[in-house]
Amino acid sequence: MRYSIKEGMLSWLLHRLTGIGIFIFLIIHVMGAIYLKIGPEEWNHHVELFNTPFFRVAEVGLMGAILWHGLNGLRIIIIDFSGIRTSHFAKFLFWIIVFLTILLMLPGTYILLKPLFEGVAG
Amino acid sequence: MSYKKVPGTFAWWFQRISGSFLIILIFIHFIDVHFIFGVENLEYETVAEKWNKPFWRIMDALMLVFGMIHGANGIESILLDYKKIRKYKAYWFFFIRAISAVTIIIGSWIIVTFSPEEGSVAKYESPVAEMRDESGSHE
Repeated sequence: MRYSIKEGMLSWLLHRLTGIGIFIFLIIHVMGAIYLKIGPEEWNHHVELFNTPFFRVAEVGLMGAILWHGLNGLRIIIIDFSGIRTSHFAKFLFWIIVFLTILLMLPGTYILLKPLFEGVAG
Repeated sequence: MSYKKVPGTFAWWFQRISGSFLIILIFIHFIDVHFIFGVENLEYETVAEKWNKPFWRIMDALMLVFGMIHGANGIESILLDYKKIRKYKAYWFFFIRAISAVTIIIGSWIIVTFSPEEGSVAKYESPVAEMRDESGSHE
């Protein structure tokens, strides 16, 4: 590892865990799309699943994982190509993406979970 | 530059380039599906309407191919950190690449061959899609 600091360790671990999670999700996601080829009723029944409270909460988790993985990936690219190898810079970027992840999660979580409280979902 | 001699250079570059594309593609996809449509409006007709435009089929196909190869690449680099797995690298890599390839083939088959049943697009009258059409956000 290039920068052995606590934040670096944590972002490295989170990047792997979210990466594995998203990869597994993507496979299931594509397999689910097979319902499009089976027929309209089958597909409509399949997507009803995503409107359940469990899936709405899971979608918040998915959004968080994707946001973290994407922003941290961007951080890695910036570190690689800026040529700035100080742990201070890596730490600084780490806290910026923590901030950005939380910032983007707020409106996203609100939109995803709002129907739960309005009784639309389920 | 000396990086040409290092094994895994292509994977390194591919990971950064596909990752950059995926940030943009998935950002659009997530906003489209979850915020513009909402998961309660993903009926067959919605998909038929969306995939009526080749643009969205190309976007989804790009996301599929980049996503699965990026993912397989990432899993492989994780596996390489484990000595016991490195010993049987060829088998593990074959396994991961096979899963990735099968998913790409199935996904592409759906995207390319999907043709909505008679009347599915015409009878589609969701106000959300009309809004999208009026604002020209399709193209």
